[in-house]
Amino acid sequence: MTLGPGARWLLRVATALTLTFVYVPLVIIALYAFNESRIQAWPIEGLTLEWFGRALDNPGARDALWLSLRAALGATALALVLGTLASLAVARYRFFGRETISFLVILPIALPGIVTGMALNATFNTTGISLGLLTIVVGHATFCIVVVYNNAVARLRRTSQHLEEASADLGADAWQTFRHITFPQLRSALLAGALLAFALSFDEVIVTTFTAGPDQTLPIWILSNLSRPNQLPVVNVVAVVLILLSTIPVYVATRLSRDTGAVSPTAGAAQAAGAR
Amino acid sequence: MAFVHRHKGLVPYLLLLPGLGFLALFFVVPAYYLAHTSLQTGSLDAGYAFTWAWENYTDAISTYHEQLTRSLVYAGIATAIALAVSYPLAYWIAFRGGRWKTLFLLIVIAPFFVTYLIRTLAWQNILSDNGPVVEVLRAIGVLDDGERLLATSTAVVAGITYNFLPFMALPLYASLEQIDERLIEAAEDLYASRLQAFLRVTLPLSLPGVVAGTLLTFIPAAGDFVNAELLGTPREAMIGNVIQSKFLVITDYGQAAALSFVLMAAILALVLAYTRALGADRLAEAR
Repeated sequence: MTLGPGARWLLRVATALTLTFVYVPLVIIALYAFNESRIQAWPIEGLTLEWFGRALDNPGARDALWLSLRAALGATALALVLGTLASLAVARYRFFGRETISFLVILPIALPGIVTGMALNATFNTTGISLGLLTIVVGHATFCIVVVYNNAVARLRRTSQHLEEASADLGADAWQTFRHITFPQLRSALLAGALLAFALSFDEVIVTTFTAGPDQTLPIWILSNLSRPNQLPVVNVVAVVLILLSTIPVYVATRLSRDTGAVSPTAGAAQAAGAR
Repeated sequence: MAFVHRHKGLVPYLLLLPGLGFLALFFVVPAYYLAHTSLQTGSLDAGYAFTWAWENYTDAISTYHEQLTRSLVYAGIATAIALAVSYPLAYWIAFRGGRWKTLFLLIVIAPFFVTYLIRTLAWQNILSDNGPVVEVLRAIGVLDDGERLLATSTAVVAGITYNFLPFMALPLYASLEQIDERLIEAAEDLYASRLQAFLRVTLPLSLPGVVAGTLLTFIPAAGDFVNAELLGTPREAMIGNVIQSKFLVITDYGQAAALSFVLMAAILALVLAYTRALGADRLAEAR
């Protein structure tokens, strides 16, 4: 496509500005983590590693990180199973109510988290279910299912059914066909969906405030410590650690896109987000 | 698929059963309980009773219409800015990214794997009275000495825009990336100017992404309370803040639930008006 030199230049500047807008906050928070002073003033007075030690010794932060990891893993696992099954039904079968069902699966992500969270809280309270890891997982899974489902449906629609039919013609049963034919085609889409689901769960604040009870996930721990000026340097350190940890899924996604070539998981994630 | 023929109609329902069962149990049932709660009156000490308390709704609207309007306005402005910022970016990656497309897309979404709160915290630091932005703006005379950036509506809207940017950028990219460039070339061969080609070919073809991105940004933004809490003051309180404190702090469950239904209705009305304006058929494509 042709673009005038002016337009091309403008586009480049706009892209560069947006990327700056996206990255500068992270750089600044990383700098503050090494700040000698407790007071977050600009420019930074001196550099220290003291807060990293403090953060390591902080039992609240450690417990919260552990809970967040378990919750995200649980929600992702649940979403993988339920989302994949539903995607197979919608993408590979024609049946009564198909459109309604794909709408119902998408609905949870189309509601503000505060509504989902409150509704779950009201239910758990009325039915006497005590809040904890399990309720956090359930709350997160409601919107994680959609992410896996969308990724899987998008992939299934692009891959041919003929391979599956051929497999059946050669005498494979349904499970064998899934294991040897469908699953390998789905694998990278599922991984992309799982990454996104994990990230969403790990990140979630709003639904979690209503489903966690007295337990604190990492985002909730951060939220409750932000109001204590004494804890701010430790929060900054936790932030830096999280920034570093977040490079893992990004790295995995890059590797994945190299392995699978044309159909990249990021594009898959983009599509999943788009389909939402 | 092979098993279609053997088991006829039952298989898809069996495949759907676990997922739909889960959503029914933890999404539909809760919606019922929330509706039930919204018609309750009472307090933590006196207990709660279901009294068909429709006044929860009228009280909620008359007391908090200001916060409700503010939420919708903030979310609307943030969505518009996110669209304006993301479109050139997504366009550039989709059409000029070449073989680096995936890498560029990763560069854009990588920061969003970092917890949302941390990103908001970063904005708190950046916009704070001793922070870099205020220093610079004061030095060049844009801000007076007493003026602040943090604890203003500008800060809240900036935070929302930043936090929900990927929800706009990703669907935009997905729809721009799918455009067949030959269509644009054809428009140019038929003597459309570059602007005409953009307005009459590229833009309409990317509308599904615009619609999806707008909804994905606007809906969570309208219900958000974290940005207003961390970057604003009670003067910038959004409806999410009201609902959250009503429910978790004041334990006025009835009114909190009623408010959340009011919020949903407001969002739904706006979304319908918006999609109607752009054409319902395009919404179907966006899904």
